[in-house]
Amino acid sequence: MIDDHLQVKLSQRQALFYFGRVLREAREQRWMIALCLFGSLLEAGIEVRLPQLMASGIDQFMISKASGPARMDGLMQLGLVYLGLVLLAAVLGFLLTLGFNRVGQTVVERLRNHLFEHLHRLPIGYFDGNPVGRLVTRVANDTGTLSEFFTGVVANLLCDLLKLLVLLGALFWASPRLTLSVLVLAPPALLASLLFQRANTRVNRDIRRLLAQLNAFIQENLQGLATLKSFTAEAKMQGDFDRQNREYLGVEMRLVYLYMLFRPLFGTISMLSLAIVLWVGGWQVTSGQISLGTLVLFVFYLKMLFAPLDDLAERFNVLQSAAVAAERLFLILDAEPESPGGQPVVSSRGRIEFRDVHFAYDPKKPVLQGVSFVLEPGQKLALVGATGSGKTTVTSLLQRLYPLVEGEILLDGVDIRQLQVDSLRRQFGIIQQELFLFKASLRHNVTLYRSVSEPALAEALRISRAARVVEAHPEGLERRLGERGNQLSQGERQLVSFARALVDDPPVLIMDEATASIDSLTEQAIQEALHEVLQGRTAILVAHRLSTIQHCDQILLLDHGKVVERGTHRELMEQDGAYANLVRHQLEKA
Amino acid sequence: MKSRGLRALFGYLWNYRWQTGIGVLGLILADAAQLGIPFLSQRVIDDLREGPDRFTIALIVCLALLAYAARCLWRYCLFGAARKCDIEIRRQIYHRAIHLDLTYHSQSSIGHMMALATSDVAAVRMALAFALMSSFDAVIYSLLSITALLRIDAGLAMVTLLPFPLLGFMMRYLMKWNYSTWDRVQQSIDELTEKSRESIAGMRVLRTLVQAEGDAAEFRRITAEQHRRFMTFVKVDGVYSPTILFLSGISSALLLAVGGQHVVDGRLTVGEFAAFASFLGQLSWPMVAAGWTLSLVQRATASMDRILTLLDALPEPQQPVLDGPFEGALEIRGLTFTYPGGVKPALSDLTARVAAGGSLGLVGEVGSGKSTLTRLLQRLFEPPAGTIFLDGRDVVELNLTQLRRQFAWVEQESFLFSATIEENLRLSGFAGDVQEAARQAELHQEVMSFPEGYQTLLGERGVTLSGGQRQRLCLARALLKPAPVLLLDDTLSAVDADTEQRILASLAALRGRQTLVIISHRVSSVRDCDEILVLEEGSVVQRGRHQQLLAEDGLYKRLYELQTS
Repeated sequence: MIDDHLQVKLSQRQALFYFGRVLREAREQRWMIALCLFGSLLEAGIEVRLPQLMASGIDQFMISKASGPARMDGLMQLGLVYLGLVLLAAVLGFLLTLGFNRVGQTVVERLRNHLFEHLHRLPIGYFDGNPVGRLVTRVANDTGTLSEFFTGVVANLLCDLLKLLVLLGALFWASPRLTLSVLVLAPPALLASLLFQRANTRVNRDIRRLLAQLNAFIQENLQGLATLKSFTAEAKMQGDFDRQNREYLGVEMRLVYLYMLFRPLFGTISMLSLAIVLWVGGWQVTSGQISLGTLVLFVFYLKMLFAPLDDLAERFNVLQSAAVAAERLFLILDAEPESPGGQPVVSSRGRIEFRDVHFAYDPKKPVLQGVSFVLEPGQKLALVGATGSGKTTVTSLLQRLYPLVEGEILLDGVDIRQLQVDSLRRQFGIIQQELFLFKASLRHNVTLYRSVSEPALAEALRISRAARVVEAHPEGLERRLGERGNQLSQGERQLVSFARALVDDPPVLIMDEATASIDSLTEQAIQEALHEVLQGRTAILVAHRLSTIQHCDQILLLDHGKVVERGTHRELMEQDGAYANLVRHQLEKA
Repeated sequence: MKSRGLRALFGYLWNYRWQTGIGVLGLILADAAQLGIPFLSQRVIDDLREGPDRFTIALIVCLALLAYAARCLWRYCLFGAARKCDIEIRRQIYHRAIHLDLTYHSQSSIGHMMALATSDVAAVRMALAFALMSSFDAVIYSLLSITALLRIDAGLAMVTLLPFPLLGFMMRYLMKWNYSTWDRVQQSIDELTEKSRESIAGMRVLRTLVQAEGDAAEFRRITAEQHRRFMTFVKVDGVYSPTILFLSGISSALLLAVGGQHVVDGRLTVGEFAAFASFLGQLSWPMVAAGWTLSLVQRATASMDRILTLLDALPEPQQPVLDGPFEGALEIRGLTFTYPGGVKPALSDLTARVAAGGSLGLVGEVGSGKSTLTRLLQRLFEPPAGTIFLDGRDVVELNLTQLRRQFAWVEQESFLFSATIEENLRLSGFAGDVQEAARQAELHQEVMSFPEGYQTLLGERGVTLSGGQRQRLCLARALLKPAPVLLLDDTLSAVDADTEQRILASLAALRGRQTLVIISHRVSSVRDCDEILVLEEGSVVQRGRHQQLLAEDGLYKRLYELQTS
């Protein structure tokens, strides 16, 4: 996650490339964008026009020699026009905000959905290498940064530039010489803005990093408060905290100094420019080159000229982080999804065959080295072996979660690579070792997004013994579970996972037994359930408990990805090899 | 002042009163300089017969430089003070939070505490920095510029100032509305984050059960809702600047129509007219600031009130330290305990006695109250007086730090800090042989297999340990603490059988030297204890030694049979 705090700088070419892609995502919105840009131009025109009205008020009516009443009427009319234009600008401004945000949000929504659906299609191996937190940041935050791209950059930066251009045009029209003299101070102002932006990016990065550290520290201390108190580590932790907090103040003060020096600069530059305008323009009025109104016009325009500079720096920051966000998003979107495969499986008989299967997550570390077995419909297979011997991998490969390196896996005699992957997976009811429940109702946790009839649901709950869990609470199936179903015990979660796997009545059951402690009474319920569930189904069990293993038709003992012993429980006990040793150990432990 | 929060807010600032005072002075100076400029430019514009006045223009340059210096000054003083208050408040929150007892924390939540330390502190800082600055600024600035306007032309000032009070008023309400719609956007972002977090974390389940389509549809519903709420926010937020533009535009139009006539009548010079326009143009900012400040202060006051609730809570008591050392004899007399907010007692009428160096085993199902005892012994939750005695002294009368130093605890859910392995092992602060403790816990070799050994960083930014490794690290951490009593709470559940045997063997060597309290749902872990208590729903249903209990026809025997079959 560290790299999330760093704002990696992209080269301009890369940045442009990614902006191009973002804009392509917005191609359905192109008319809206064009309309908004046209509106912006109009708005800029009005904003530039308003001071001109003031100036012409001065020149035409205030210091003209026309008759009194005509001048009064003229001023009145001018006031009304001014009011009308202001109203128009206000309404236009509101509509433009709406328009640009709509474009931004529409694109973001599209990208988010697109990204999420893409994640659902990426091979499961992708998730092993990318922590959840990082991917969530991509879906939730980086896409949000892109919406700022539309509102902050396209809308504001572009509009500011448009306004600046229109303004400069008007100034030049009024007096080229005076304009040039105003612009004398523009290069230093721009330079200051750039310097400020660079320093600001750096300081803000440090601030974010330290603040995240500080917050993580507090959060962790609160989570482990019982431990902390038991080990009487309060004073030590306080010392650590105070040190980090002071360090944080240090960078915060750097920000204060930075803003202290730079922020007042733009105001001062605009005041100095005023002095220049008054000096140069004053002489021009005296010598009759420009009118008094024009001079006043320049005074009015000064503010508009320097205001965009003030936040130019910030706009560039947004631009930079939007480019980074875009790159991260497209890196995910460009990842190759898993291939959907060919012919659909209608209803499998449940015959499974592994032929000399080799597999490795990391080419240097083989996980399976030539595993073969045949499982006839209705038979049960137990996989036994130490952690890391490759048991879970066997079940993952059968579901085609990872691509095989070598060998074949056949379902009902057909290579699974030729089968349509979704239909293949529907043949299996899976109970994973890491029991994952969702923060939702019990009902949702069992059915997920499948439409399940009430009788089928009741039957699944009965067979799996999860009905116990449902009945334990007055709200029954509508009971809402917390994060990862944490108010249920490990055993109860296992029962719910059972029910979830059985709702579809799949022909093959794959179960990775939980190793963590399950209390003995629930354990009994699980064993009863298992007994009934296994009736008439092909099953692969990654087994830790003797009671489960004993009734299997075949036991494979795996060691570093190789089958070292195979047979029934009785046969293996008679062999008196590694398996028999393992069993004796377990009995001793109990 | 009505609210304590507001008073406390000023209290923090009071610590930096000199700095704040100088800052306000700088602010006045900067505003005065800024307001002087239209006057000076008016003088230049009105007298151009012999070219612009050199002296006046030099004065403008001086004022510009003065304004810069004054602004630097107030920025440093006011923002600096706010940042210092910010870290002080965060420090107080943290210090108080870790000294509150677990009873308080069990009724609060980490999320709430984190919100205090992050968003509430930020709200307070914002108010201290911006609200303070802008309210002073608004008052000074508007007073000065209104005075200036009145001096130039009182009648015209009255007319053109009409829209401004309305602006301040509208800002205040828009702000409020804005916050509530933004909260709703925030909620939908939270929902979106939560949904994607859960789906990605549960990707394997969704994948194997082929639920991508349904899940994506659910996600689309959430993104659509987020889009909708965001646009509602934009509609509210987007009203701001046009409103400002329009209201100040009205006043400019009034100036043009009415003020222009004053120029025609000769009551106003063109330079004065221009000065008037500049003043008016700059007046919209303080009005906007006024509305903004009010809502910022309102938010900060609410935040400060929440922070004060925490700071007001009483920390754990600190009784005087008694003469040690303690031997580790434990006695529990008729202990009944209900967790705060609980209905059923977690433990009822528990009585037991362990001699120094003896051992006590507790077995029972999940939720039978076994772990509660380890927390009460160390007063992580406060037991009733007269129920738990250490070396004959009632624990509630002992100094907390001293009491907790007598126990080395291996929790059921192993908690490690994001620090190096060595720092984790040395959590209790005692010097001791780290490697020896790790060896006893069968961890040394694995630690040495990491490239950085004991300096390996754990946690999100470092190495993730397996469940078994975590448990053994916690065990080593407890073994390193020289305490007379060792509390083992279901310590080795994720450790494989071989390793467990070896650890148990090295723990056996401790017998007689340390008092041992072993808690487990496995009969095998407690079979060698001097006395075993069998718990069911908080009550002792059986007690005795292993053989004795096996001979009885009870829960113990049933558990034993279930676990060995």
